[in-house]
Amino acid sequence: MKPRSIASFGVLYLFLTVVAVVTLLPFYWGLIAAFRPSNDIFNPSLLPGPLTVVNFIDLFRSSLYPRWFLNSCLVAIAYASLTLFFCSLAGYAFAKYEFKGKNALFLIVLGSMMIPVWATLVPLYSLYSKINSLNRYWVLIVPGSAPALGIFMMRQYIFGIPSEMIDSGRVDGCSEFRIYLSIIVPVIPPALGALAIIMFMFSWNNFLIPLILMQNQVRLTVPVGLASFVGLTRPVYGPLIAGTLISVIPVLVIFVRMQKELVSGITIGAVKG
Amino acid sequence: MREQKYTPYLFISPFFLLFTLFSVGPLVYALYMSFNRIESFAQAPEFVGLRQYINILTDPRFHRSLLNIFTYTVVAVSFTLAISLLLANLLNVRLPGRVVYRSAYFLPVVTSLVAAGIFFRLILAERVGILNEILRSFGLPSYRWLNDPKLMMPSLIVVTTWRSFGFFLVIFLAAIQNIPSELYDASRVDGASITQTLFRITLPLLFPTIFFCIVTATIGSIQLFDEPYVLFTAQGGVPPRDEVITPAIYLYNSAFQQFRFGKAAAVGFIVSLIIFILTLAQVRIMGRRGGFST
Repeated sequence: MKPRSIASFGVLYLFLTVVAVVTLLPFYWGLIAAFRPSNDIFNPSLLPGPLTVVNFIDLFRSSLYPRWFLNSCLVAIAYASLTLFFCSLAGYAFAKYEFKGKNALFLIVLGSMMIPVWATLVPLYSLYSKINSLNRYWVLIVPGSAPALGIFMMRQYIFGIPSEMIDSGRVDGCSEFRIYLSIIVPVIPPALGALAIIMFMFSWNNFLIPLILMQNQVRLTVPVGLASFVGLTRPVYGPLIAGTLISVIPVLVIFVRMQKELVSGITIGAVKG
Repeated sequence: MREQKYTPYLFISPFFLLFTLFSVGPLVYALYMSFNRIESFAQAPEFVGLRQYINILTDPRFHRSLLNIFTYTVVAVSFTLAISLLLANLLNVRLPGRVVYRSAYFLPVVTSLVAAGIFFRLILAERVGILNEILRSFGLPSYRWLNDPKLMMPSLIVVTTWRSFGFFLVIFLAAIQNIPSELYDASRVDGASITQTLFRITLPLLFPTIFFCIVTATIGSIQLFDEPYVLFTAQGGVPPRDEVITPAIYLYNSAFQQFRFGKAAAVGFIVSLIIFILTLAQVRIMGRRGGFST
């Protein structure tokens, strides 16, 4: 569509800009508050004023933040990698193989999305505490590492790959796993990229599961660590805001560099494709 | 070719293994737990039949959580989807720099709910919050955005809308751009106004996508936990008050603050059942009209 007049053009821009400013304002306030001295954090002025890094120093001195950050990185990277492997493998099987019960099995995969995390939360907690696995990183990485959404995305993408490529591999006598590795994997990086970003962000921002399963201060992830500040008797806003700001940086960097892949990944399931 | 017979099963086995161990198994165990009083994993569970279900279903606090979440879902989902639908239509105009706007609107989506909650505590805090400082500087009264029973729910809705409208915007935008441009060309030749184009072409063709978004947003809303937890957990870790309690918070309180694990498992079942019924109802009511196929 094209706008009809200069005036409507102007109104449109004004409206879009106002919404954009309102949307970005909390980030801006967070950014300047993180660098303000503690008595000035709630200053409503939009101008930064005198700035300091004392909040960041406080954060690193008074909490295990660097450790939490490392934990979050480790968990998110391990989770995303495992997800890529399991989802591409299953997506490939559902897209390019004929086998008994294929449709029923795929329906089970899709149906698994209907089970809310709340239904299994308490029994999982009880299970982990019985096998002595609370505070272990694997409980954040392994259980959800073959998500239906990822399998669905991969299947949609691999459908589009010509089957002749796979057959040529068979003629050459490659093993089935070899075909996956050397024919399928090299042509799906766009889909892998999209899935990797979504899964990394999901893990990075996940709050509920680590809140419940990680109780040892040393094993916390960033969101849980930050939330533990909020419940303090005297909340210390300086370090809290500084820590929140740092926690946003990794997803921000990914967002800026890979927005296209991210958006394509989100829309693949939603818009008929 | 013998190898080919087992290969696909091998390739999909990780999903089914994990699904069985960490979803189906726990689901069955949750059912067992919900019929037993379990207050410590060291003690033997005590069979109580349906008593925990009855206690939950007659607990005014649980009623309150259901009432809250239905109010929240209806208001927040319509509010969020209306905003994202409007903005998606506006961004479909070929404007220079529209990618920048889309990025700006999308930014909150990648931010964690915890980070969003903390940024908004900075803005909405009662005595020192930036919003109240601004109101005071204009000589206006300040408000207790996070403590006044009347304002807690509206504050919560504003924060979650801020966090999620960009997500649906991106989906709507992609769907609008999927609409064949010939349809728009034809309508322009016929002299249709912008509103006519919107109501006769864009919205009807978007219906399946709108429907998908309503279902997704509803399922997400009913499970709301992170935001009320971070926004309203009071000093000293006191759980959020009844005005903003959600079924998820109720479950969390039961399990991890009162240590009534059996009761919490029952709450989990009730909540899952509600989500299941609501999704089915939406698919039946709206799927019929929209040609939505699964």
